[in-house]
Amino acid sequence: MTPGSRSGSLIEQARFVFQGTVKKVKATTLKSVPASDRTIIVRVDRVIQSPEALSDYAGHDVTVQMAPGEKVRPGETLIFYTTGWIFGDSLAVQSVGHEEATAPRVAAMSAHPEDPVRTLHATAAMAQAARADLVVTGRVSSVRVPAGAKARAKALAGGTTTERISEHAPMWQEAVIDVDETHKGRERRRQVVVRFPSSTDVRWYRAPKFHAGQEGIFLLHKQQVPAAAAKTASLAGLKASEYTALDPEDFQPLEQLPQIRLAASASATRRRSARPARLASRTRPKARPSGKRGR
Amino acid sequence: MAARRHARLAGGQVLVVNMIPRSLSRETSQDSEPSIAVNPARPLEIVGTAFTGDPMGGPLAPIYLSSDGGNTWRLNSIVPSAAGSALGTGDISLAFGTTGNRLYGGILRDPTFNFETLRAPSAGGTAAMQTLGSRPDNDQPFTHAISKSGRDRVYVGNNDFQAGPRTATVDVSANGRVANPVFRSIRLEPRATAGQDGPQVRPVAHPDGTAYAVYYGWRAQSGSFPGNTLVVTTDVVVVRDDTGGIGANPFRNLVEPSDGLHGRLVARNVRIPFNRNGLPTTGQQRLGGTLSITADRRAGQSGTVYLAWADQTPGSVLTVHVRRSTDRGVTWSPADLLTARNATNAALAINNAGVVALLYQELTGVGANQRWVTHLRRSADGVNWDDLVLSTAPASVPAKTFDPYLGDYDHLVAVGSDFYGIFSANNTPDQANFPNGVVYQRNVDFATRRLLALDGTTSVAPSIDPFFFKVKG
Repeated sequence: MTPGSRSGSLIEQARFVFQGTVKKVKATTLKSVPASDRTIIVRVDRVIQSPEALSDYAGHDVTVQMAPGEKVRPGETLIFYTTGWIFGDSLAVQSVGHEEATAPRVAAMSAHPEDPVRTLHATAAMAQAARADLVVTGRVSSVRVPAGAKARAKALAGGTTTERISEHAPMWQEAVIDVDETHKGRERRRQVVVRFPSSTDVRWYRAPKFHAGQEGIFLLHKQQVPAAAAKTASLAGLKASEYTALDPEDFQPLEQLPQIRLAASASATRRRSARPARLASRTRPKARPSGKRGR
Repeated sequence: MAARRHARLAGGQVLVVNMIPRSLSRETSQDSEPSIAVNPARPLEIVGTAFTGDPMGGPLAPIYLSSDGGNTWRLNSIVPSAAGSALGTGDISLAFGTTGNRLYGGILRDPTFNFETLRAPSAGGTAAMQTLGSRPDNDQPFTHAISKSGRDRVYVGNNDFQAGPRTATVDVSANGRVANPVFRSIRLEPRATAGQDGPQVRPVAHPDGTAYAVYYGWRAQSGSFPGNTLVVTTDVVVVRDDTGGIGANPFRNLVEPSDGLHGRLVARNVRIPFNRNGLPTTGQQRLGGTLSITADRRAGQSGTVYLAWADQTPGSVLTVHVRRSTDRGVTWSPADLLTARNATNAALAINNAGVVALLYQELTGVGANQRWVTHLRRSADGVNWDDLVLSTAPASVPAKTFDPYLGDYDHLVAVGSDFYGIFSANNTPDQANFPNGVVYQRNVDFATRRLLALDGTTSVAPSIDPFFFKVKG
């Protein structure tokens, strides 16, 4: 799937994408959802992209609430791009759009044809790559506690600090990454330091937990943590300029590199073209977008 | 497939329902830290919450909604969140006004974890709950509401780090029904602290206007939170307000004789662990104390108050104590009315007959034989307690995905003569794990004790689910 295409735009908005056949219009599968001009019953023929919990809906009927202006006819087989709505005895979803279910389109949508959950992760990873400020491949050479954290922890234990104890504290750690190659961003250093929360609290458990020797693709971001939260919820303050990795997709195995490169490159191009020409000419990096670095 | 769809109270007394709907039969999330709200004006309408994200990562987090008294449940995404959020929301608790069907709440909103106060005209709508207020640096909002003279008084206990070092706070709105309700942040703590108070701040209000709250007043600490060895020395403090917390000097009507300050010290210098992580020895649950308070809602009975708190006693990871006051919190029963060792997540309620009930979760056994046992204990006199075991399941299965394993709280309320509660537990469909019966909506096979996917044949791994229960008073 091409980033920036109509399919690409729809899939960025939708978590549950499936090929389905319209069985009935103005109807629903749930008692709690009244039928309307916008509700239809669709038989799911094939799940293309899905969270784990909904990955086995092939062969089942679901209710789709169409977006305003969407029109379908019974018997049509379409690709539906949907978000959640009601989860009860049956499933009701909201359509953000649909397209004709041609074989090439369905194939293009399925990064992992036999695994809609992996396809969703791949889509999420590409979106995350597009949002990242810096994308590098490399290896974690060490993990350490940020400077000052030990002293602050001691002060905390001794009651000699105004810093608060919260079960939602991130417990920041730093991973030092030896960079092999930069795929997005203007950093051209051999090493990059990324902060990540070591906490297993509900707020932070999904963030990647880095360890020495870990090798792969790192999607790094600036200013992901609101300043107030960074100030109060941590044992070591986070500066806005520091890189963080908080999303589970911020670390990818090397096998994902072709897709990540594509998304990173497309987003970098979009960013450049979105900038006013004078500003772009003033700030354009001198280094090439993808610069190989030896270790 | 043997999921029973039509729930009945076992023996006419107890109904336990796994709340995950059939359409999510494949889900394996850790749906911990539950709370419940029952609409007193329409008791068939019940709302549950937990750490349950929108299964499709939408911009709103779901509530569990039942329109038939808890027999069946669906997810309705109305809680403000963020697009793509797998978490849905941080800490959350909701409450209905006594009349008028309005639903109020306090959350830590994902991803900022700002403390936000919420309102919806009803639970069944599809629009996002309205955010009434938002501020950072907070923890564990806990919501209570009551209607009086056509107004909804809304109380949200919270630990407000912006008020440090005296952080125990209740946000109070004198009328949540108006277009733009104002919440006043009432600081409860008059004494020196060890830098802050504990996260549990629990309010309760009586129809006559009396309001109480309880909090842990942290006095000293030893060990290390990062090192998971922190132990806090704390008082258990009860405050009272005779005008609903909306007067000039709220929550100052109960004075401690020993120092003349407001806030009765029901327990002094007790010690609690404040864990960073749950461990195998704690049944994977992180421990940090537990508090609950309830007042007898009958006319003329607002002076009768039950209190549950926990501390660390020898040989017990955490011990729950229940005491009672019959003089508006001035004096308290000198000894425990009930003691539960190796227990947490205490929640109290009193029904319209004056029967008090305590919900808690007890860690039993050792090593591989550890189990989490969820009890409901009831007493008409505070002396003699029955014991309904709602759930008993291995404490090592499933392995925790995050902390807290079961939640930093569960919840119990009473409407009329009935008790309604919610707890999180291992969801293995084993009848032996539910001595008072259980009903699943998701696909299960009790004969083989397996959770099943939507196809009714594929096995699904056990996880932590929220369970609703109703016990007739």
